[in-house]
Amino acid sequence: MKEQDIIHNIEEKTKDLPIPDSISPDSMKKMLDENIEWNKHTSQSTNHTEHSKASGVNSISKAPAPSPRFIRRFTAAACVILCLVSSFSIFRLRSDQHEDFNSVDTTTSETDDNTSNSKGNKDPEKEIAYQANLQSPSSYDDYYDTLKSAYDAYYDSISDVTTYDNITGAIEEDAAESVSDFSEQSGGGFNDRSAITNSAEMKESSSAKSEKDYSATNTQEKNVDEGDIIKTDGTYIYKVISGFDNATGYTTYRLTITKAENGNLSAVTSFDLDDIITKKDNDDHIQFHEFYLYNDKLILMYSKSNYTAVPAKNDSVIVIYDLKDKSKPQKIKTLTQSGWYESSRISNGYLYTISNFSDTSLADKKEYEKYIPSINGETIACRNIYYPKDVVMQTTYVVTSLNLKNPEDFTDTKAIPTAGGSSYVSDSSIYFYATIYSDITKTEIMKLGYEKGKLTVGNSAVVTGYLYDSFALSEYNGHLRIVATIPANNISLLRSNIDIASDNTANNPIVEDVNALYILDEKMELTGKLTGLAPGEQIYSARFMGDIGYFVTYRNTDPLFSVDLSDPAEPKILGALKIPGFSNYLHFYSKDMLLGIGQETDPNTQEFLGLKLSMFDISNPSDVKEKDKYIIENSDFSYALYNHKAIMIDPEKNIFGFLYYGSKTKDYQYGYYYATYTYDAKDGFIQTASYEVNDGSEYESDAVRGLYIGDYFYLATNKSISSYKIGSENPIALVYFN
Amino acid sequence: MNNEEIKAHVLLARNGDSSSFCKLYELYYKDMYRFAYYILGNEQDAEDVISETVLDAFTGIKNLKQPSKFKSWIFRILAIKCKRQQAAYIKDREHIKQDITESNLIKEDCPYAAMLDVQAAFSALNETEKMIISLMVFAGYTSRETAKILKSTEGTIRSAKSRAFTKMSHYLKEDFA
Repeated sequence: MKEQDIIHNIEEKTKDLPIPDSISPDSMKKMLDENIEWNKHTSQSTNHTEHSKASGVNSISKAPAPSPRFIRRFTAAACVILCLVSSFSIFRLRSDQHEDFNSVDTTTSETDDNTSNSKGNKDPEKEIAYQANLQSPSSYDDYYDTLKSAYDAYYDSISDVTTYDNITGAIEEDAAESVSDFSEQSGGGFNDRSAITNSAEMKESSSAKSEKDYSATNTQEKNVDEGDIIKTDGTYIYKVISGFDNATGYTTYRLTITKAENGNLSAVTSFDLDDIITKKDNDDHIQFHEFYLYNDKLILMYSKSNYTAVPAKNDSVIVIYDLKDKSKPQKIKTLTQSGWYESSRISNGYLYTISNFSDTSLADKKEYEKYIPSINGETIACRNIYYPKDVVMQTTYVVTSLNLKNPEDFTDTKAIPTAGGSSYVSDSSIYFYATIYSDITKTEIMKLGYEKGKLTVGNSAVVTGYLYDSFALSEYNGHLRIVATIPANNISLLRSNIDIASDNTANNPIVEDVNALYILDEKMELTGKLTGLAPGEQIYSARFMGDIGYFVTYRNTDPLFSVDLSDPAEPKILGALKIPGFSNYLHFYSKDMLLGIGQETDPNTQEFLGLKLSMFDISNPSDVKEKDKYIIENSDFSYALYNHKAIMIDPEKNIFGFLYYGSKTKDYQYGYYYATYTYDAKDGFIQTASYEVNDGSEYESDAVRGLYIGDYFYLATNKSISSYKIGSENPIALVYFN
Repeated sequence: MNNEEIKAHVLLARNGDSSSFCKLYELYYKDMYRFAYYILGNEQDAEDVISETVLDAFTGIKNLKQPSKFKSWIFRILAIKCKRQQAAYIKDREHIKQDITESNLIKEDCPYAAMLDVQAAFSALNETEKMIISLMVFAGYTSRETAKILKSTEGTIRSAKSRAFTKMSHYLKEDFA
C-alpha cells in the first residue's frame, strides 16, 4: 500500500468517528464562559465594562465560584505555555528586551519599555546588536530564587485577562508602514555592477586540498568537520545503521566497520549501541545522532532519554573509541552533558557539542540537578551559567569543548540562554539563531566565540527576516554576513495553513516578501546592508566565498545574485542572473565555477520538471552565466536539496553524486537511484553511473550515502554496502550488515 | 472561513470573546478529536485533553502573535497534552493494549468496524509513531514541521513514518480493494 493510499484509507475510515457532544463548540463555549466569569471576578486588573463591551460576552451569565478543577487547569495552562515557548521558541511572552527591538511592536504594545534602548528604531529592516546583558549567579540557591520569583511573577501575570485596544487598527498601520519602506528601498541596489577580481581565498581552497584520495563528509565550512552516519579513513568504512525493535518499539542502532580495499569488501566488526550504554534503568533509551572520525578515534554522539522520570531526563552522550585495533574498538571515554543533543562540530582538534536543557523542575530548591544543567553528572559551576534579566521562557543551551588529543574531560563549558537551537559554526564562533514570529518575522542570533577549546559568550543581534538554513550565514575576516527573507504578513498568513495558488497574492504589491543582506562586525553591530532585494521572492540557497556572496531567490525564474562584500560598510549587488527553476544547494566547483543542485520549473506554469544541475561561470561575478545545465529525467525528489551531507562531492576529483527518487524511463516504476556525475568544460554534465537501490531499505532512504576511496565507489544503505569501479555500474562486492 | 475572517476571530478572541474562539475551534475540533482519540486510544481521555486544550488555548490566545498560525498553535497545545497523557500511560503500565484485543473481538458486530481497524492499526505503533502519524494525518503537518515539534530531524520522521505506515497497512489492507 502506498502512503497516500494509507492516508486516504485512514481518512475514509475515521471521518465518521462519532464526536462526543461534550466537546462540541457549544459545550466548549459554555465551559469557557464559566471560566471567563470566574476569572473576571478574581482578577482586579480587568476593567469589567470595557472587557464585556469589547468582547461581547454576555455579562449577565452566572459567575460560578472557582472550582478546584479550574484552578488546576489554569495552572496547567501556565505550564503549557511555558512548554510551548521553551520547546519551540516561537512565542515570546514577556520578553521586554525583545519588545524594545521589535520596533514595530512598540507602536502597538503598551509602553512598558522602561529599559528602552536608545538604539531602538522604527525601520523594520534595521537590526540592532545588543550586549547580551547576561550575568552569572553567585550560588545555585541564588539562581533558584531568581528563577522561582521570575516564574511566580510570570504565573501571576498570566492569570489576568488583558484587554488590547485597537489592535486591529495598529496591525494595519504596521503593514502599511512596512510596505512603504520596502517599496522605497526596492529601487536601489541592482544597477551597480563594478568589476571585481577573484579573491585569493578561492585559490587557497583548491590548492589546500590534501593528498588523501577518499571522500569526506560534505561540510559547510572547509575547516570545520560535521558528524554524519558514515565516514571513511581511506581503508575502512564506518557506518551506523538503524533497526527496529518490535518488542520495545524503539529504534536500535548498530555501528559497523567494513574493510574496503580496491573494491573488495569484508565485514570487520559490528555491535549494537544499546550494549554500550550503562543502563541504570530499563526506561533509558537512546537516539543516535551522528559520529566523527578523528585520527585513530571514533566519536559517537547520541541522546539518552528517560521519559518516565519527572521531569523527563535527556542527556547528550559522547562516547570515544580507540580504533587502533579495528576488530576490537576500545571504549576509552564516555562524557555526558544535560539536554537533548542539538549539534556539534570538530574544529582544530576540539569537539564542540551543543545540547538543549529544557526539562526542568523547580519543585525542590535543593534538587539542583533538576534546574541546573550537569556535565558528567556534576552540576555546572555558577561562573559558567549565564542568565538574562528576563529569565522566564529562556531555553538553556549547554555548550562544551573537548580536546580530542587528550579527551579526559571537557576543556570548557557554558550554559547560556538563547532563543534557538539552530546553529552555524564558523572556524572561530558558534552562532545560534532562532526565528522570532511577530508581526514582522525576525531572527535572533547569538554569538559564542571559541579558540582552542575556550568558549567566550559574545553579543546577540536581532535581524529582520528569517534564515532559510545555516548556509544563510557566513563569517569571514571577523564579519558575519547574513541573507534573510522578510515575509509579508499576508503571505505568511496564507502559507501557514492553506495551500492557495499564490497567483493573485504574489502579484499584489501590498503583500510581497522581500529579502535583505546584512553584514555585522565582531560585536554583532551592523556595518552595512542591502535591502529590498527581489521583492516577492524568497531565498532558496546561498554560498559565500571570501568577499563574494551568491544567493538564489525564486518566483518564476531563478535570479542568482552575486554580491561584492569586500567593503563591510557597503555591500554591492554585482549581478542577477535569471534562469528557469532554482538551486537549493550551491557548491564552489572551482574558482570560476559554481555548481547548483536544484529544481527545474516551467517559468510560466511553475510546473516541476525534475531535478536540475547547473554550472555557473563565475569568472566575472558581475556577469554570471549558466554555462551548462542538466535535467535529471523523471526525477522527483532528493535529500540532496535539503541535507548537504547527503551529497558526495569532490571537485578536485571531479565527482559528485546523490540519491534521488525517480524512474529510469517514463513507464518504469519509480524507485530510488544513486547517480554519480562528472563535469566537463566541453561536454557539460555527464552522468557516469546510476545505481538502483532496491535492497529493501528504500524506506530508510535518508540513510543512503555514497563515498569513494581511490578509484572505487561505495554505496551504503541501511542494509548493505556495495562497491563499484568509479563510473561503472557492475558491482564488485556486496556485504550485508548483519 | 477565509484568512481574514480567521484573523478577525483571533483578534476578537484575544479580547475575551469566547464565541469567536469557538468559531475557530469549530473549524478544527473534529480533527482535534480524531487526533487525540487515536493517540490515546480512548474516548474519555480524548475528551479530557481537548477540554484542557480549549481552556488553555483560550487563556493563552493573547500570546498567539500570528493569527494565521491558530491551527498549528492549538494542535501544538493538544500534542503536548497528549504526550503527557501518554507518559502517564507508560508510568501506569496497567493500561496495556487491552482495548485492542476487545475491539478485535467485537469487530464483526460493531457498526464502527472500520474505525476499529484504524484503532487496531494505531495500536501496532509505538507512542512516538502514533504521535508522528497523528500529526501528519489529522493535523496535516509536513515531515519538516513534525520534526520541529518532536525535536527530531526530517529524515528520522520520514523513516519513522514509513515504518509506521508499513505496520499499519497490515491492519488496513483487508477491505481495501
